[in-house]
Amino acid sequence: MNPVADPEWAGLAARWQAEVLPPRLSVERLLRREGRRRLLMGLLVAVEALLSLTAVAATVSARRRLPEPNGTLLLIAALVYVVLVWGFALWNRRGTWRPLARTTEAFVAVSKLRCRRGLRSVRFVVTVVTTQLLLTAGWLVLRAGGETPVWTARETLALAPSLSVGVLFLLWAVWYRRVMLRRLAWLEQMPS
Amino acid sequence: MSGPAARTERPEDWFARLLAEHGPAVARLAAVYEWDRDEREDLVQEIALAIWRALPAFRGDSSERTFVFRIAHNRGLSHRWQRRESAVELAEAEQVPDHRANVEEEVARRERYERLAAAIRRLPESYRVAVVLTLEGLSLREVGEVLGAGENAVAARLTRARRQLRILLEEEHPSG
Repeated sequence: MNPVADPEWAGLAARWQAEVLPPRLSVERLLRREGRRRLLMGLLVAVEALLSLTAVAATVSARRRLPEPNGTLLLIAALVYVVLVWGFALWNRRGTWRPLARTTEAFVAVSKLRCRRGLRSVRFVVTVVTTQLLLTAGWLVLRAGGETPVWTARETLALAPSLSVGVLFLLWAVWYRRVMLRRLAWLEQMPS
Repeated sequence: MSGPAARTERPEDWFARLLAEHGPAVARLAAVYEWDRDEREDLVQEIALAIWRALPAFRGDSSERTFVFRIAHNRGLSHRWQRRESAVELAEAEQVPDHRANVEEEVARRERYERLAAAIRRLPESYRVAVVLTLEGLSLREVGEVLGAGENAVAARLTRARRQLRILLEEEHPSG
């Protein structure tokens, strides 16, 4: 059945469809833009992979200068950390790809799932960063052996970026959690 | 419409044809998700790109029109929540008709269309797209295919939506 057979709908449809301006779309330009977007996405993944490899390489290099068993422990920790983060990122995204061509009901369901996954990634980031900060603090205290922990300028240079990134991740988690909760609330109020 | 097995046109040509056939309808649909003309153009481009990305997923189990509307509507929905997150409420900035057109009839037609679009924008989210798809001439079954709802549910939604739309249009322009 077509509701436009009804005179009131027909009148509204005529008024609606009187707007016939074609959108200003150039297929070539759109395809170029999509190409750029794909390139950017590829570059982002490459940068992330490169950062992980750099972290592992730096740990391998540092291992040679550290006394055993600290060096081996540090290397194992770095590898576990990298595998954990990549594993979580891939696992957390499963089943949430390309939902736009589905029905609205399915799209909203996937969007809610994405929000919940987003909240899960917030919990993951908070847990990992907090653990990392606590382990670093614990190591400094243990090494000091009851004295006030002190570290050399070289150690500060190594610790400062790691701690700053940790704090930035925590700030991001607070902001992202708010965004996800607001989006989820909006989606939850949509009647199916 | 034919599925991918029977398709002989290149994806680029297929995409261009879909845009040519459904572009105006997509632009009209975008108007209920975005009041600002510049932002609306961006949204139409985003919808077009989403269609391009989704083309490999088209299996021919629905018409091309339904496929395009599904993507356009879903992309419009996500645009709405992103816009909401940027703290811009639709109600704050209702569309002001563009008076630059120099033909009186064209101005009147545009105003009538924009008023209708503004009234549709004020409908609840679940009614809005059902109304737009109906105004685009889709049958109850096709609207149901886009929304993932049954024909009876769509019909009930449209009945309630029409009642609200009548009131909103009356509020905007008491003479009709």
